[in-house]
Amino acid sequence: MRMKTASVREIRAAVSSGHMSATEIVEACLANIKAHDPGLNCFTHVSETAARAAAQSLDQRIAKGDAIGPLAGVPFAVKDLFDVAGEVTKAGAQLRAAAPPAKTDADLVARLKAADAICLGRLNMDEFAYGFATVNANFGTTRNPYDPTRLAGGSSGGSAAAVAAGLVPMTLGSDTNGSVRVPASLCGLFGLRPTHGCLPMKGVFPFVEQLDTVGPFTQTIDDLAMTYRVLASTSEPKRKKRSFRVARLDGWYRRNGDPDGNAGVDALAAVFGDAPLIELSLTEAARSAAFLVTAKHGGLLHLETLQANAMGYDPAVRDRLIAGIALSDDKVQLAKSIIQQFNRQLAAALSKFDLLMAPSTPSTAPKISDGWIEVDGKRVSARANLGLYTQPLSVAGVPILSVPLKRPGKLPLGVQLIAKKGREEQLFSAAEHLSRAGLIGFDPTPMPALEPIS
Amino acid sequence: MNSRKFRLPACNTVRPMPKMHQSNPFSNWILHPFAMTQPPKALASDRARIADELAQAKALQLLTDPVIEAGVESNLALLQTHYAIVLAAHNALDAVSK
Repeated sequence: MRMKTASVREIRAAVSSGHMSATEIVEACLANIKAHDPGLNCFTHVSETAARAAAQSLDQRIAKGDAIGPLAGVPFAVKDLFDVAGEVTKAGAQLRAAAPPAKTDADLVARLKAADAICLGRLNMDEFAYGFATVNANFGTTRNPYDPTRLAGGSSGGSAAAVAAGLVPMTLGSDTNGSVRVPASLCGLFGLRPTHGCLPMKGVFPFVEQLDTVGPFTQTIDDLAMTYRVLASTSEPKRKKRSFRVARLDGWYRRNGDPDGNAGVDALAAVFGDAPLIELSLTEAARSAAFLVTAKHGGLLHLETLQANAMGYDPAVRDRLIAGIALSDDKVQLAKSIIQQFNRQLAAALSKFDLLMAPSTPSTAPKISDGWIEVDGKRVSARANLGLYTQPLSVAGVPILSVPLKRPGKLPLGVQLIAKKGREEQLFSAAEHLSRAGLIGFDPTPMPALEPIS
Repeated sequence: MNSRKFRLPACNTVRPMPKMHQSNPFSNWILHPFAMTQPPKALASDRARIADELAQAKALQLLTDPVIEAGVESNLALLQTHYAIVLAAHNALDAVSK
């Protein structure tokens, strides 16, 4: 078994059957991180000692015949905004370097550990999660494993790149405006933004609480569903939905981006039969409303720290946060009223259709040295516009799964599957169906083979 | 209201970079994080609103360095373009409902 392609399910099976020990798994991952992370810059901290101790403890329990959890021996890592007991939660910010270590694990980290998954470390991000690029003035830029000269996307770029490179089979990220879905799309992974409020946020450094969610990245939909069920403390449904009424999002989503994205949407939707194009007329306004609300509420969270130490921030993040704080209340109120109206449009669409589909990003991963993408034939800033398609939908609180189109030999591109609140399992069923049809799935990166485990 | 004259940047025009950005390969887009397409030129009323907001940031003692002030002003101008989109949508909805 090569760690680069080992799935969550395979690792769990290997450990529980005694075919491999948790220690062997962890050592292989640590060796891969040591060998390959310097070229990618996914990790900001590797918890070698704690991971080895957890693996050894699990191996001892297995040797004694104790019951083990559903993710036994599965290595994972977290975006640098999750509390892990004994570690400093920097949220990608150097000014938090002197913050006291977390006393306890974030609830979701605790749930993964209770399922016997093993935490290997912390992952790079845009400072305070404000960006779509994982370009961090303090911790450097995370590179895309498909092409290290390109961005991994953000703000959970370290989380996505680590899974795409096969350094760990599963990671956690956060998604306020698209920070799971954008890097999932650019790194060719499955990435979930769950229903807002369905997973506990205790121990997660906040950005904009009205919009914040956290979710997993994996190489397969099976792994993602397994992980989500542990995170949400739910079990696999006995009866799965097999047929779906699907619509494709028109207008904003058809005007702007890479034609391959919409061709991919068309191909996926065709699997489920006739899938009309529908337009939500307030999409562009919802995106702008999300910008305004994010700037204001994200900024207010940092007011006191900015007053005390503005120069300690990444300049790009600082200036946006301060502008957000200064934004007049009437603008934000109007933005919120537009969000309500947009949510009504989306709810009406989801009352007629089980699934909506739209591209996840307007382009494949841009070059790091460039920082621009082409939208509507114009060159625009990648950092702001990689979230062009994720941001409007973020305000609705619905679950959205980014799935990777199968396109071997090409740079990855994702499609968003959107469902009603609480219908995550429906998204998993649809994605399983599309995976079996061979239309979506992880394509191995062209990186050199990683450390094998015999 | 701050009475000083504001030098409103053309929103998509790359400004001379402060020294701290010069070694950053992203410096050509880092000050324009909200720009999607060429925004409309700011109206006088927009400039007044941005001036009010900048004054608010000043009152909150957030503009402790000229570099910060330039970056915040630029970002406020760009947020104004998003507000213009929101306002246009609101007005269109209003017109339909009447």
